Amino acid sequence: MITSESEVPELHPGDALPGVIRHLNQEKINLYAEAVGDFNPIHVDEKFAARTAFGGTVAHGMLILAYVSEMMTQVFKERWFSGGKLSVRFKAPAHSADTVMVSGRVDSVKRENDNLNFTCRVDCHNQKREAVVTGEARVTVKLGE
Amino acid sequence: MLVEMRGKVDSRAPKKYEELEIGSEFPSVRYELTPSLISRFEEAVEASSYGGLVPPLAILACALKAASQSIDMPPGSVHASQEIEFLKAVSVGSTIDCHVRIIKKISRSGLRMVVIGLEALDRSRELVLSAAATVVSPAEVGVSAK
Repeated sequence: MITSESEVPELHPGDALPGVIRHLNQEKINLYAEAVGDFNPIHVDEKFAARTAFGGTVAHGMLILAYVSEMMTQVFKERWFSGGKLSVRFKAPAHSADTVMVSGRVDSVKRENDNLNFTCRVDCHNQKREAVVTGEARVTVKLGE
Repeated sequence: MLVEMRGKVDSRAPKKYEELEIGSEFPSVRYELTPSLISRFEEAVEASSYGGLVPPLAILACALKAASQSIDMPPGSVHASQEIEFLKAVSVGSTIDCHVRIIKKISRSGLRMVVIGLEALDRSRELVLSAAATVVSPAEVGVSAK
């Protein structure tokens, strides 16, 4: 974990990243819809959503990714903002009453010239342990910053 | 709303799947990332402020909003995958220009898939974010989600 901007994260393969837990509800989904201007009825219209394959409203995928980004920011701080990469698949929708648990684990740490490259597996599960998002995050840390 | 428009706006109607051409690009859309807008985003995603910097996902939200102005994504669309690269930190109060292009489109088994390329540049024309969003829509609108 880094404690200041100048420190390099002391992470090793196999280390777990500090998880993030968020309890969804329709109010939070509506708040996100208003913040980003995405009023797709599957997110905000319960009657519409009830007639779809999902059976009810679901959270915006980008809301769930924001939770992943929060986890990465906690660990890598500003470096995530200017050297982060995220590649994910949405495996299942996060419903409006779900609890989303974001987790991460360091896969590798490799030094290349003046850079330290971290590769982490990232996952989001719901309260039933079903995968909502799976993927990989990479962060490049320039040594001597 | 995070995506209040300032500057250039594409006034044409969003293009439907059939009208999209691989490689085609759309007019850029400019966003001003004001303190109040970013504050609302941070509240919505339950993120703490970080040193006056814009959360990277807020920039991506702008880019996706720009895409939705150019591409008709019906209510039944699903966000299937996302790749993002954050290249430069952006301060709250900055202005960014978002660019959208069509990378790929596939029609199969009653589903339509579009891979959308997204880029955000700051006022000095430096790339701050590059992303590819894969959106899947049912050929018949009305069931599913984005």
